[in-house]
Amino acid sequence: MLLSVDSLQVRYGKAPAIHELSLCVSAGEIVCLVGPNGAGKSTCMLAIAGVVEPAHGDIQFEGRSIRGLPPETIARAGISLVPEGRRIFGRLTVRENLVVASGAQGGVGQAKAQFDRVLALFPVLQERYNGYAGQLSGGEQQQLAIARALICKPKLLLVDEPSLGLAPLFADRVFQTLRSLREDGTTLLVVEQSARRALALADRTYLLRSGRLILDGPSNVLAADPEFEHAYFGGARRP
Amino acid sequence: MNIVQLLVDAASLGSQYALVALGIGLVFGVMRMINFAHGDLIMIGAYALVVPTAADLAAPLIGAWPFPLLIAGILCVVTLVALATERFAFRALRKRGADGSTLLISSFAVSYLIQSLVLFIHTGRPKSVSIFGALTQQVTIHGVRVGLVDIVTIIVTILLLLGLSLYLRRSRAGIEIRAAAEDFTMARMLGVRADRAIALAFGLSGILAAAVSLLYVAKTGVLDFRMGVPLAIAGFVGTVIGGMGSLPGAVLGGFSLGAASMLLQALLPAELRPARDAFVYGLVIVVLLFRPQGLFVTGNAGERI
Repeated sequence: MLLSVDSLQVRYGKAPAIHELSLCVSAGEIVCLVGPNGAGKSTCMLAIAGVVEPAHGDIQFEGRSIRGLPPETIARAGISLVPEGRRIFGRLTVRENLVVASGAQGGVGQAKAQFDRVLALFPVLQERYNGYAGQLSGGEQQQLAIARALICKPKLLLVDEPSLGLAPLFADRVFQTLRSLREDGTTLLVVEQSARRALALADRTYLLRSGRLILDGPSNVLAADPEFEHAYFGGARRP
Repeated sequence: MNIVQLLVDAASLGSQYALVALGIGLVFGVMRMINFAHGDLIMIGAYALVVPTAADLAAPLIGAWPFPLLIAGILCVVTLVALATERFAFRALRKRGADGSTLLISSFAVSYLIQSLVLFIHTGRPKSVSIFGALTQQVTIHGVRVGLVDIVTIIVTILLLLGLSLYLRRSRAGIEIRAAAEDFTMARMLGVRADRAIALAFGLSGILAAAVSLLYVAKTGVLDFRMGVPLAIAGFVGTVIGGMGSLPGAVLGGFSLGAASMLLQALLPAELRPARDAFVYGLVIVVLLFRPQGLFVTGNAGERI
């Protein structure tokens, strides 16, 4: 198991944002977390990345606990996050955005090869290489955020709401890219609000609502399950 | 007073304030802390020139060394003190999740601690020391007499700004600092080591503080344990009017403040001159009323949807 989250609980102040969430991701998989706003999906991603501290539970990566480690140590262990809202460095150039992320990886020659590989995936970034990232369009910024996360050759890529704020055509392209990453051997854990997109992308899907796990299973099974939509919008699971 | 002389004086004080503001701005960028102890780093650098003693007459210590060693010595002392304040005062607080206001208060504590130590060792009486004696002379350029020390201050400032800007743009560590200044958590999630980026920012601010120590003492020749306070305030106000979080803003803000106060000093009627600072800071308030985000912030450097 590449990542396993066990009975995770996260609180913001006293209010629990996630109750007792357990999930796992095997190497080579694409796993999606879906659910309406406030389900705790982003919180879960930030907890894995080491930015929010869990109140209970454990997070294991490659068999070792990473709970409580600082974010830079987790990044260097091989987990990269494409955060909600992209959070690119607007006052840095495209190249500099990638350079910041390449520190987590060893060897200069290796880094050069990875730059070439990533830029081949996103030709538009090659064109805007020395332009300021703040001048890019929303879709280009999303590509930069993904490229930046890939520069350090992560074993596990966390992607939070990649289609947020993008025109449907751009969103399709981003999902296409995510699919192609798996073919290159990257494991992905993706948060998505649109159940349709998530089920089409992922091998397995977890449905969260109000910080709790409601349903999970292989995506094709869930897609055929009439209960899924019902559960997404707030009905109780029938016995 | 000749207009060229006046402009050189204004640019000289402006340069000094720009270096102070940049030092404060560098640390603020990565840590969101206004380091009021920055002025006391400058003071430490000045006092390191003389033998630590309570005697009134100051005997030169590092101040007696040949000048390349003197510069290197003061750079080392101030940078080490800057790194020590980060390591022993601010890091522990940061790890416990202290917010900007807690850190600000702790920087006051560090500031008073340094001042009290110097007061204890050197007594509160100002001392005089002379370094770079050759700089005290006046030079005549096209018939205008200006202080050599002012010219040197301006040139040194320009060189330091160029060097620092090259470092921040070209080196990996510099790019990491700029990224951390924009979104510290995001930089960490990409593997940037928080402790290293912050220590580096403190180290760079120490180098800038040391430069101000030397330029200040070369011009005035006076040591006083509170000499850093007005400098820290000027630097802080410089970063605010330049726009907090922007390094070019800090430089321009500090420069404008220094230049404006020198120009007012010369242009105000004699009976109003004692109230110069009231005019300077009154002007600052007016600026902030109209440009609360700072004078030199261009607005949409941020992200687009």
